[in-house]
Amino acid sequence: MTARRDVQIDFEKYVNNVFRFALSLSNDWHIAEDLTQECLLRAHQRQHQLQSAEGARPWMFRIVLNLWKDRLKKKRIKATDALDMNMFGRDWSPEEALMQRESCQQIVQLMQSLPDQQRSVLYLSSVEQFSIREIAGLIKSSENSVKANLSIARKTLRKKLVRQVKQQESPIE
Amino acid sequence: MNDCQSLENYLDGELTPEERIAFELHLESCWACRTETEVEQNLDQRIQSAWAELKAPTDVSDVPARCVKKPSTGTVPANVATPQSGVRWLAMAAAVSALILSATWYFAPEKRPDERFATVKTGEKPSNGAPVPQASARRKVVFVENEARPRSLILVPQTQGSEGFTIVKAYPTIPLTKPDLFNSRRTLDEQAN
Repeated sequence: MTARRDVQIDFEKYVNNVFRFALSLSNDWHIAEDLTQECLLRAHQRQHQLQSAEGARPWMFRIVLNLWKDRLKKKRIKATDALDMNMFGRDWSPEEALMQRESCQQIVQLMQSLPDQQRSVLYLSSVEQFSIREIAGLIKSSENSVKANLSIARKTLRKKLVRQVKQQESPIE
Repeated sequence: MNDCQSLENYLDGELTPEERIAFELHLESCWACRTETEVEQNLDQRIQSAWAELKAPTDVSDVPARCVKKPSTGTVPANVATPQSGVRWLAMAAAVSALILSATWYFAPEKRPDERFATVKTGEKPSNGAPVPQASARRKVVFVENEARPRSLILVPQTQGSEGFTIVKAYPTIPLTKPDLFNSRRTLDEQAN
């Protein structure tokens, strides 16, 4: 018990990671903000459950995932199909927004069009660099299922990217 | 296993260090695997850099910080019960039980007779003609009339053959009822008529 009490973690340093994951799940900026706040609150409240500081990041992701599932159950909401890219980089200066919005929004938008399971698996693997085993533990699924979802997600995203590049090169067609 | 079949495990980071080195050697000779690896790694980089641009609004972390009261000293989380809170609960429980005990003692019917009736006159009947308890060989009935509230007492010898008695029960020879205001008022009315 005393060992657990000694764990003092700065959860705020994972705010951006948690927010991104919440956004990848919900596809909605406002819900992602709510989920992030709720996650931080719950993390502070249940800090004593955490065994070590190293486990804080996956633990917070697990909290976000549970919060999102609760919302799906209780409020019967669905992840929106398209992400509102006007909200993208709203804290940026106008110059920053102009420079970065184009490059970022294309890939994020494509990724958000993937099915829920594939999207979260791809996010956790590519962005958060979790291993297959860690992802399987986090989303409570089998490693084979994670591998299959990840493979399909990558292939689909590649196809979509190629199609988009072709459309940009020949806009008349 | 064919080297080309390890491509997926390589990309997923599932290979052991030895297998990884062997596959990287294979990559130098296999154009198809190398291209595939580069495309996948490029895709991962693009995804990473795109998401890295996304940042949480600055006020997101403010609310939980306000809601959660962080411990000022030490590293004990706010929601874990501290020894001080345990002592406080103990003190409250002791105070409540003391209150209950004193209330029970205050409102409980008196079991023991009043010691003021120790000086008694025996063998006499109460002047108001109240019912008399039966005396027997083992107990002795006395009447007390030298007090404001006369009572009959049952006394039992303390030890065999001794002179002393212990008072085991005392009850009033005059019923303790409220003044009969209705009857007294009626009597006064009748007298007036």
